[in-house]
Amino acid sequence: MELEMNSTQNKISEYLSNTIEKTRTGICGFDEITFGGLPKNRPTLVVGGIGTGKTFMSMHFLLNGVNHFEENGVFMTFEEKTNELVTNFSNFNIDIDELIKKKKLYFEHLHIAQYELHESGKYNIDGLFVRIEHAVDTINAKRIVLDSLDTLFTNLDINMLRNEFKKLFFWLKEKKITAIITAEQGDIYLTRLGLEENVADCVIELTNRIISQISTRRLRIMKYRGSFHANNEYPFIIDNEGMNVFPIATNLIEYNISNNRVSSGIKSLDAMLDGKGFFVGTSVLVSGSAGTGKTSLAAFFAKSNCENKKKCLLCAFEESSKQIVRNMKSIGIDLEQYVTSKNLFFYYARPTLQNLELHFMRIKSIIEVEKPDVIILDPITNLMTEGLNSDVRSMLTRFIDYLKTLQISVMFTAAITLKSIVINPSDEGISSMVDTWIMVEDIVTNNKRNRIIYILKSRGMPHSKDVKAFVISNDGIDIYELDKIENNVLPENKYNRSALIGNII
Amino acid sequence: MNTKPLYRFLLFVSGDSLITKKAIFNCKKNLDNILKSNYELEILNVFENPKLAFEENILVVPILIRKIPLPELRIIGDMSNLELFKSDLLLT
Repeated sequence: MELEMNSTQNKISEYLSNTIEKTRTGICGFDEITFGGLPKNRPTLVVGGIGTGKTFMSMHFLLNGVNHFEENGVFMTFEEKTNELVTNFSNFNIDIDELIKKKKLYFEHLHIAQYELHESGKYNIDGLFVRIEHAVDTINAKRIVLDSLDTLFTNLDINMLRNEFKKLFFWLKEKKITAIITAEQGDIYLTRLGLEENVADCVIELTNRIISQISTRRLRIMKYRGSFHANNEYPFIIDNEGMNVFPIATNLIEYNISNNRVSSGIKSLDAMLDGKGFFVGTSVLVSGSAGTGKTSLAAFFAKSNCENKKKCLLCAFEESSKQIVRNMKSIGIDLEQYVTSKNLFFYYARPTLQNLELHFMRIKSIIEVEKPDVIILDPITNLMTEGLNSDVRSMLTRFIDYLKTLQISVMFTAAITLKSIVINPSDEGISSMVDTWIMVEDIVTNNKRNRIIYILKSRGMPHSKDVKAFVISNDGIDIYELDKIENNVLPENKYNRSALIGNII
Repeated sequence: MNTKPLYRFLLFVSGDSLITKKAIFNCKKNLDNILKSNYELEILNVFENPKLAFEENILVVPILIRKIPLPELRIIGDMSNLELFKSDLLLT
């Protein structure tokens, strides 16, 4: 059955990618959402406002062509001087000067000095064609970038040039070269000049929005002739590794699903989970109000994995790594030894430091190097202060999908309680991406706070439905039957817990 | 009599198109009209002289470049607008 599904899926992706010939950009995530890259031997228009990453994307496309696909590239810039461009990209770990010397890359800066130009009658841009042709033939280029045509012809008559742009696009097609042409975003037209978006076979829009003081870059494919494409807006980031587009993993079915189990690190909690703990490669949410022991639970999970010689990445968004190490000593866990033995890695960053995409990309690059078996995010609710809740959720969904394809188990903590879900129903949507949801609460009986723990859901296993008492002491964590709590009084009538649980699942 | 021309021009055109013919025709006519025969005009096809076009940074054609006297002056178009042509040429 599973095999059948896989082959259907393969057929679908084959069908989607087979429509027209494509040139891979090598930009992480972009080739996935376009099912193979840019249209081969055709021009693509990249539009966006100032600072949206048009030049960067184009440059990345060229450099990848040279480095990974043996396709030489021409970069025609009308804005920045070529040596400035080279400097701008020098922190890219690629010696651009060397590539130019080897005739793999060709840079040219074109400009019309406006002050010395007078118009008298009709004209065309054949001169530009000569220049492009010369550049392309010099290095036998297969890729070309024309960075911002707007700039070139700023003071020329647009009506006269509109036809010329059309000619340029057709000419590029005839030259059999894959081109990116960038353009400023306009108010009335898509592009500032009303540049013919109709002549481009593929139009990509880049935006850079500020939401809650944090900027997020988004990429959208507006059109793609003769090909299917994903049409959502996708977050992307630009860092010294290049450009990364964050798609939702496209082929969910192609996961390898594991039947192996991983212990939660607490025997009595494992007992509540069919006696074996979580499934490997699933997501676990530990939620509860402040001081209920979420981080402690996570620390036990980390400890047990480290003891089993697994690698664990702990992403802390609240406390610094040293603070966590110190605090966990108080419940009998010495995390430091695992750091020394290289079983435990920390990623610590203030959520406000950068946007979510960047956090996840950083974590992703650590994952690629260290290849951990387990990841802990503590807590994700801190990330939710940055950006809209729905944004965080979709980012998390993507991230978890990514982890699942790698068979990495993930545990994240969140300050979500049953009561907060009633107040803020959007928290509830988190449930869909969680395979196992453990809730911790504390209740006051006889002037004493008692912790309780229960499992809201756990996909694919029979799990305990009991509400149990849960004690954190110097010796660690233990879970008891409720009647072991003093006097056994649960303020059940404060709110109807079972009804609330029923609403969520 | 000074036989050396006071004015020296380069006219860049592309191919053998209508616009090229118009530009050459208008250019000669206008220059004759304004400067009599006291000028030198060199006509260059960008497709045949890519190197020179490159050196002169030619992107838009037809383009008339006044080399002498300085400062260098550039007029683009098919040179059909005589008034504009005249004022540009004489004012600068």
